[in-house]
Amino acid sequence: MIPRRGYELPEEQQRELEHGRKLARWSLFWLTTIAVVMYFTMGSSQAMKTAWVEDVLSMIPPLVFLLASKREQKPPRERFPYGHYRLSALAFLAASTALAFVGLFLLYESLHTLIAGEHPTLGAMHLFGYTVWSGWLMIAALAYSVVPAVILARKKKPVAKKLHHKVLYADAAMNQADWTTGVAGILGILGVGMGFWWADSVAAGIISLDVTKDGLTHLKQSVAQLMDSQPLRIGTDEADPLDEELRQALCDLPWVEEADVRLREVGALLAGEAYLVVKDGTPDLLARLQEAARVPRGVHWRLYDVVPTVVESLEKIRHPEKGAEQGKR
Amino acid sequence: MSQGWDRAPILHSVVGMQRMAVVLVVGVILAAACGIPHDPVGTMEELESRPLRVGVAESAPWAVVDEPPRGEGIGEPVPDSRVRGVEPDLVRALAESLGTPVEWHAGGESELLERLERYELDLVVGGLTRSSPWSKRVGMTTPYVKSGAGDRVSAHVWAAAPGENGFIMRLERFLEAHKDEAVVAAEKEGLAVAREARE
Repeated sequence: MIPRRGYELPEEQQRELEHGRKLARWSLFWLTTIAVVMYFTMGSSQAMKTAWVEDVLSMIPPLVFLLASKREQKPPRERFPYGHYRLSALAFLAASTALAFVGLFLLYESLHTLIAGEHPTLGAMHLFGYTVWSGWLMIAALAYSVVPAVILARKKKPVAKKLHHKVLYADAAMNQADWTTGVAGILGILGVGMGFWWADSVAAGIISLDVTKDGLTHLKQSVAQLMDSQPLRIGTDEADPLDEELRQALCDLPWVEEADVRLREVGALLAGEAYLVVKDGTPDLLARLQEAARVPRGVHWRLYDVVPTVVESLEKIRHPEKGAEQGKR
Repeated sequence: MSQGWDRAPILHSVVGMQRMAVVLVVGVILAAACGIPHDPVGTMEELESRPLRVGVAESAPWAVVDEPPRGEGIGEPVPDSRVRGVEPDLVRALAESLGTPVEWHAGGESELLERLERYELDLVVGGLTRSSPWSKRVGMTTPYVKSGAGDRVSAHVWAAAPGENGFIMRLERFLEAHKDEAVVAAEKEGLAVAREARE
């Protein structure tokens, strides 16, 4: 099997990729500082512990992005004739599974603490000669954990969209949602301060639900992509319009009677087949097919590997049984 | 997550976030103003109308409970005159600052800490250290003095009922103010002690 020539991102996307990688490195740096701050302030608060685990886990997407985004671009070779473009989707599948399980475990822990009626002891911390209630420090740590996350999310989201990189987008989405963790945690600590011992476990439960939800959502998304599901527009549930755009562009070819397209997502790229019904009497079919093969890349840089093929009729493809019946007649 | 995230439910919109941030900041300020943290079981409030119930675990010279005179029963609570030691003296000073009398209860460390866990006592003292396995089950203060030398340094703490954060903060402030006295008193009893370094 002769592998296809490797794919090269257009210039704009190459710049965005570098930018995205830089943002991923910054994410790892800030998340590390957050993890350290949270670790030293968390004490015996269940909410803080849960938030800390979430912060540590949220280092996985940028790490996956950094490790996979360069390797994905490697050209296809004998062993991998289709290339490596699914690398980050696969890694993300593993990561989201882990996220889902850890989230469920954290949920179990919070419920256990709540049901056991454990009153969290939030004592004092001594800083620079002052005796301070540790709750204040926890609130400060939670507030701190929110700021870099939200800022990074704002920066990463447009890059992810331009690159159409779903792992980077998921990373940005999780960072963005971190602020609900901060709010829940702060309300939990304040609740404990006001004498409601259960506020801490409830906050922990909410945070762990968020982690589980993130895990399950991305798990679903990763599984769908790896099952060659219908490409969806990034960040939504809607069908990607490129399907229709390509079909239209092919129909616009003067020698094409009808056309239909089947696409699947391969990382940020799209691959698939184009079924063409050729007008009667079209000469020089070989040249026509070569022309058709160049159309996808002209429509959009993501249409990497769309193989055109000539068919007798689209009806026969869609409803093979009917075709058999007609054949019998 | 990604499905529907772009449709920005109110929580994820920028305006929603900023509003939330303002609400939280105001909330924190109000909380600070009204004397947070409070006690879920209301220890500080209850102490306004009842004595401080203190468990004394025998651990000379930190805390000592004398034998009752021949012929008398153990007595519960233990009369004040029979309770001596570095930590009981400090407790007396604490009780004075709180304006409550002290009710002493004697017993083994485990038994007293179990009663503390059940909110039957307010405070347990008597050579308790930070490394105790009870640290997760009751509300221990941060260490205020350390004894021993080399490998065998013990960091001494007091124990309050779990989650009584208002009362615990009161203890912490008291111990912080009186830790030098504790060192002096312990040295008088012949212990090699040092102030717990706090950083």
